[in-house]
Amino acid sequence: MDINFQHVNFKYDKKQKINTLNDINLTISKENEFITILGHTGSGKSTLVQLMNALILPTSGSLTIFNQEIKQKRNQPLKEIRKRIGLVFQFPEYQLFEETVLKDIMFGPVNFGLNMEQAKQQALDTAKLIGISDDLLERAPFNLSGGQKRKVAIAGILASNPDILIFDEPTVGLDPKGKKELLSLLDKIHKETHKTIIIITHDMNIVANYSNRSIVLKEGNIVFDGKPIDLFNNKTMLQSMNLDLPYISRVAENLKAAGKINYKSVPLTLDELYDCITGDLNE
Amino acid sequence: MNKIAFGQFVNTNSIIHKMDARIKIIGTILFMITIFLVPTNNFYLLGALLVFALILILLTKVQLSKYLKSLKSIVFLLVFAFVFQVIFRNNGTVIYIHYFKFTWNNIVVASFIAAIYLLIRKYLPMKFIFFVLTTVLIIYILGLPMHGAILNQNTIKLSIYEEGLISGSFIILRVLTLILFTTILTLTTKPTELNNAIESLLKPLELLHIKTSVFAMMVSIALRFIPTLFLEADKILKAQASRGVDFNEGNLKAKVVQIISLLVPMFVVSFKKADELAIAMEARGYIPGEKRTKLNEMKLQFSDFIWLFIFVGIFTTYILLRIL
Amino acid sequence: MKIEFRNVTFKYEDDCDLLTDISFVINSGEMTSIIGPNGSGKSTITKLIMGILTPLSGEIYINNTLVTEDNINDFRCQMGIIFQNPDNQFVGLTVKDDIAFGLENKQIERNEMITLIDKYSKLVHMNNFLNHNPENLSGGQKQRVAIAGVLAMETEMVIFDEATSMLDPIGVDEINKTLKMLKKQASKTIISITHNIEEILYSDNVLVINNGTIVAQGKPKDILFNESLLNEAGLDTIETVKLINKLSDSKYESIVSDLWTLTFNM
Repeated sequence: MDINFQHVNFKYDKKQKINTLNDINLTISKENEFITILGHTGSGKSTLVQLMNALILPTSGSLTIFNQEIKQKRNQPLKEIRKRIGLVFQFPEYQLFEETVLKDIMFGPVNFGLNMEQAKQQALDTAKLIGISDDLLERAPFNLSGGQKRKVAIAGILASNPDILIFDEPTVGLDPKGKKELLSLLDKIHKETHKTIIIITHDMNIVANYSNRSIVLKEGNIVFDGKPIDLFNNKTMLQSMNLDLPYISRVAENLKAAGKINYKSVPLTLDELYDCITGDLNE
Repeated sequence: MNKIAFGQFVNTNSIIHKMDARIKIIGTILFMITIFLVPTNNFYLLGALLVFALILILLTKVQLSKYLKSLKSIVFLLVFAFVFQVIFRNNGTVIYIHYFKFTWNNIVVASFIAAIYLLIRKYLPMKFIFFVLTTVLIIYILGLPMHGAILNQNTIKLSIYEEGLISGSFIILRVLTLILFTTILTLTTKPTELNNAIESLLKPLELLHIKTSVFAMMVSIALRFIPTLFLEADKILKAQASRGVDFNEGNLKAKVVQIISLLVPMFVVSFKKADELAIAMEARGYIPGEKRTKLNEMKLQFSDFIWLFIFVGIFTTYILLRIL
Repeated sequence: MKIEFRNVTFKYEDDCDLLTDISFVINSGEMTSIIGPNGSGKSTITKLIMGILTPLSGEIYINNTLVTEDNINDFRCQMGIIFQNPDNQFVGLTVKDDIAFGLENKQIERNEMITLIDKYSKLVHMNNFLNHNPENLSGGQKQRVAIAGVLAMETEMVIFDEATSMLDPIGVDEINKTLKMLKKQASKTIISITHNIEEILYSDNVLVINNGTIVAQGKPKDILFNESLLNEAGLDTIETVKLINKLSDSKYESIVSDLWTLTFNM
């Protein structure tokens, strides 16, 4: 497997009494996975994805990324890992700094060893894929709208052609249109390139509509790792994790409780509920 | 997330903690002056101040380790000042003379010890103490009458004079006392209280049309936002690291770009914060320099007057002793 | 507090119009939602109401008085506003200090201040956190402190300027509960600016803004039902409403009525 956690523990500070992450066992493949990571603020989600990118190092346990063992020491070669695993932070303001959008997208590829020509070509290709129009490329990144900035930040990571893409709460602060655009972009990348995509999110609709695997963290422990539908069908487990069903599933539950519809597996999308309602009444 | 502790405040709710911060500041300033009023090499008067500092330390109920920690940072300075006094004093009564004998054997043994020290240095707990011990050991070995070819015919000697030892010790004691008094202040007073107290003490400056309240608000905002900005800086560092910025490599030009890649987002984030904060403060009716009431009003208690009386009493006693 | 915009246009120098010929009325004691996509001009409206910006043309009336530079300060002290970023509006070093900030500016006496802090920190359920530093609070908790700080100033009007957009679901829930409670308890004029459609459900009146103009206004139910208009404005209606629109056949009548009830009660 391409990312492999075995009994990994992590603390920020030796004096910390409780581990920020506790006994993490996890394997992730670089192909065909669309993973959502769930959990409350402070459950260790951001810490987990920073370990995957070797931005922080495990306190104990074994972490292997693309067959390289990540050790608790300075001066180990990590650049290759950071190239192959792209991590997009929540706020684009944390990374945009160049004079033009194009130069900013080129920054990663150049750091990872491409020459200017190749980097420029990569940047232009990525911009096209993401839908950053040509007239934006020569503008300063700071003058763009919030949604555009976010696209540029994603392009800046994607241009290095990573094998796995990780997003830390990518839709926070976007309006519904921006949200939809971004998610269908990620879906397109996933479908066309089969690259594994990992998203930290609180949005159950993303979990239900896009991902094929969910990992739930609670107080630094992985409490669920499996298919979203298995998560949503287990009501008691959901409650113990303080998670909610997607909006449409809650509607379905209420209708079921009122005796209006019936189903075996809870509908997760609008279409599923529609089929459930029309199917039942036609019978 | 990593928490950045600001200030050293330790809450034990002792009588020193309850003392009005203004009195504490005045007291600290008075003691600083008093320490320098003590005539040179008068150990009794300085010792009395040290004892007073120790009494106050006991009253704070803060663990002694916290005080030792604050002394740790100046140990180097203290030892340096002491050694300087001892070596470069060359008049008065000689109490010990150390003759250096540079023979091959001496030098080999001394270098061997130095090499061992350098190798194991990484794993030592109290590096500085080991450094001093090793230095003393090397100096001692270089004085041993060992056999072997003598490299240097002219003997080099190190003479230690009584006066050097005395004035060295006095300087150490003086700085030590000074640091203890200021540490008592910072360990028992919250940064906010300090800020309020300074604002209150500087109030007379308003007569000169200097807006001290604006200054105090600036300090307060800085105290509030420095931890936040540290967290932001950490995120920016990680965001750029994941784009392949490696601070351990690169030529000068690459280094400049790396630093710019951190500074620009830091400025952008900070200015955005400052801008939003300014609007939020204005929206809640803040007008710089305008009169405001205070939630954390400072009121002098009876005990504060007693403390002030004690501090001023000690201060005047030392002045009188100096004059008479 | 009644607010009236008459043909207001605003733009920054050399820029295209941010708001074009906007007219609307916000009635005293009512809750009005202003909804629109990012960059539609929602926040510009707040700044115009607050008097931080002045219109290029058109007039703003507050309580039937024309707003001018001379009287804006009298009105502004009757407005409180909660901003988007929980961290960037937390001025005090502790929760207590932060709630007190506005009161100190209003030169409220210390004893009264303590009473007010006590009352409003209880209202937002933050009374057990009075001595906490902001670093130890969640986004939702910080936002509740901001609300307490604004409520303690006892202004006639409170504006929520995308106050939930940076919070996690628990935080959003906390703020929305506080907002509902506020609407029930006090006779305050409330303006809620948002791009989250679910937040308009319990307001009295909704304004939909797109590209600097008002494209619709009305009751929440009417706005929700107009799916095409919302889509045009880059917004999305609630999923139950989408379902209702799909279930047009009369045989689904009873389930549709259930869906309506659920929309407003879930």
